[in-house]
Amino acid sequence: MLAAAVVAAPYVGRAVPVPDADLSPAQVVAAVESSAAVEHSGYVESDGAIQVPQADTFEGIATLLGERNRVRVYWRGADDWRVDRVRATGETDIFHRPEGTLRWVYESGNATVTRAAPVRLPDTSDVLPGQLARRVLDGATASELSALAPRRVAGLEAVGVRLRPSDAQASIDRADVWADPDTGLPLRVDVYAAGETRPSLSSRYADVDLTAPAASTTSFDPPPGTDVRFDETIDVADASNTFAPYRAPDELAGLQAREGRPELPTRAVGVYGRGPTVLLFIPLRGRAAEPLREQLARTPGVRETASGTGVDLGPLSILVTPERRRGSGFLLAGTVTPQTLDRAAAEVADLRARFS
Amino acid sequence: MIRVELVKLLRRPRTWVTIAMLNALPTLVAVLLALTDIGPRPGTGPPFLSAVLTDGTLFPLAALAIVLPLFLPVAVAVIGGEAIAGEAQTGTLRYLLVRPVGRTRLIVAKMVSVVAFVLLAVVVVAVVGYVVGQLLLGDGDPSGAVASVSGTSLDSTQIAQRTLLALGYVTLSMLGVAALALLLSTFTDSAIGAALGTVAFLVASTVLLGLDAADALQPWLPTRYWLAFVDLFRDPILWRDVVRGVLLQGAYLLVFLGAAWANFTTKDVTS
Repeated sequence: MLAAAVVAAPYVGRAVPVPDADLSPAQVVAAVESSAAVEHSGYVESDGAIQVPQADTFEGIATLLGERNRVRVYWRGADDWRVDRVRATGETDIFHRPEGTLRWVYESGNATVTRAAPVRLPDTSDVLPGQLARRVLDGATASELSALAPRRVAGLEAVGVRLRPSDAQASIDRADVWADPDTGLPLRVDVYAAGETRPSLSSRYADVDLTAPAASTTSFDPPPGTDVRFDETIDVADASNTFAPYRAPDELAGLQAREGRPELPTRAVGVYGRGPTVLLFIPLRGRAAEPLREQLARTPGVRETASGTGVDLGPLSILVTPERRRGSGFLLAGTVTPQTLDRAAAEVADLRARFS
Repeated sequence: MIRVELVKLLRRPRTWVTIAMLNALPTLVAVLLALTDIGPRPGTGPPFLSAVLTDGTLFPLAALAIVLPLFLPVAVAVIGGEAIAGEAQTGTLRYLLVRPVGRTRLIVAKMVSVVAFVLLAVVVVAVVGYVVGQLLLGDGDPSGAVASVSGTSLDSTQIAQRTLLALGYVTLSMLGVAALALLLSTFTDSAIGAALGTVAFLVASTVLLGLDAADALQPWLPTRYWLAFVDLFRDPILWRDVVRGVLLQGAYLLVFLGAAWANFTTKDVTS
């Protein structure tokens, strides 16, 4: 009896019907878009089904988008937060401030500071329900939205909204978002590729506490024996944006450049599209482009065309353009159709290096 | 009766040989780490193994993490499986019960003896780990402070408290194994059968943990939260899995021990 009660308790709790909150899809989206300042802490589980090839260029993205991640969050505001990706063997923590980011990896004992970057590859913070939902719903139009039945997430009654992107370039079929109706904090996001019944990426709070975490939780005081290092750039996208002698086009494959933070404009790297439709353009040096081409060429289902070497991984497509000077090339990647990448590759084929 | 069983446990060479073998692997790992200075890459290898290169204070935990997935549960399964079935196998169970010794008294004494073995094994692995860590591995910070998994500093008192909590947690996890072995031991006259049945259950649990299709079962699998003691060394402590692990092992303990008692007190003893 006791064992049965222990086993049944969580299911009984979830079976209690959730009352309807009186919010339209547009109101839910507006609440979500203004939720970046909602202070909270919690425990997030994310599941990714996108098998990104293990390549140095992509660093931790394969783990982020292709595996289950357990993440602890301390959020005091859009520019003061800490996100821990916890593993059985340790954890990788990101401490964020307006001026930059500190990354702590327990197993190696490394603490590395990088300045705030206008553009970077996705990291653990980008798969949090809050960050993911705000990105997915950014620029959504009323015709793309519909209401979803409310559901209980992490013990809270959450209101739901579904987005079906209308862009022809989109490879995402729909994104389902559930948020706390009082604060707008997204609690669960499921992103589906076209033709898929299981989410390509799902992220949800398993526990959430809507009180402000202590200031001490988001500050880092190095433990004994740890040297804090400084890195010029955070990843390959930031490095390319900082040093590559290119100016990214304003529009690519019919997609407009995505608005970033005005104080941190992008240069060589371009980010295009709106909502869940994202196209990334990164000029790569030969020493980065060549191994990536080789890695993609070894990936099952590789496409070798006049546009370059590409793979389609569910909703995510990746393409490296053919060799330019000394093996360099352009990396085009994003949640767009393979045809969109081919079109983008054709548009940047004649892009010339410049210094301005 | 309890005293008799405890003395028997401590006087048996098998008990100490098993515990010595449990310590062999962590000691070998410490020697290899000391000689090569090569730790595992992030996300691979047992927890705390990279940290002990600079500070041996955490080696008791690394030693437990090394033996926890396989060696410790196998040892506990062997000792637990032998409790009743071993007496039956050697033909002494009938004589014990006609002596007369109450069945409840006998099984409680066996339970206490198995619990004592689990506690002894965990403590000895931790103590040997501490000694080996101090002798072979890094000296750490002179103040005694140790880096938590989250990159904060833990002073020696905090480390001692959390280590004790971790030892208690590992002991409880192994008591779940012992309870299952004891239950199976009441069903069979073969000690090895009871031990293998327990190990098979744990292997099945580990296989199901790696299977996405078994998602709904995973929170109830006995091995699901075994390594959650690592969460005690995060800052702030991540209690989520630790609490779930304690509740789960507590439930297994109650159910298996209750079933073992119910079966043993009502069965026909023929050997």
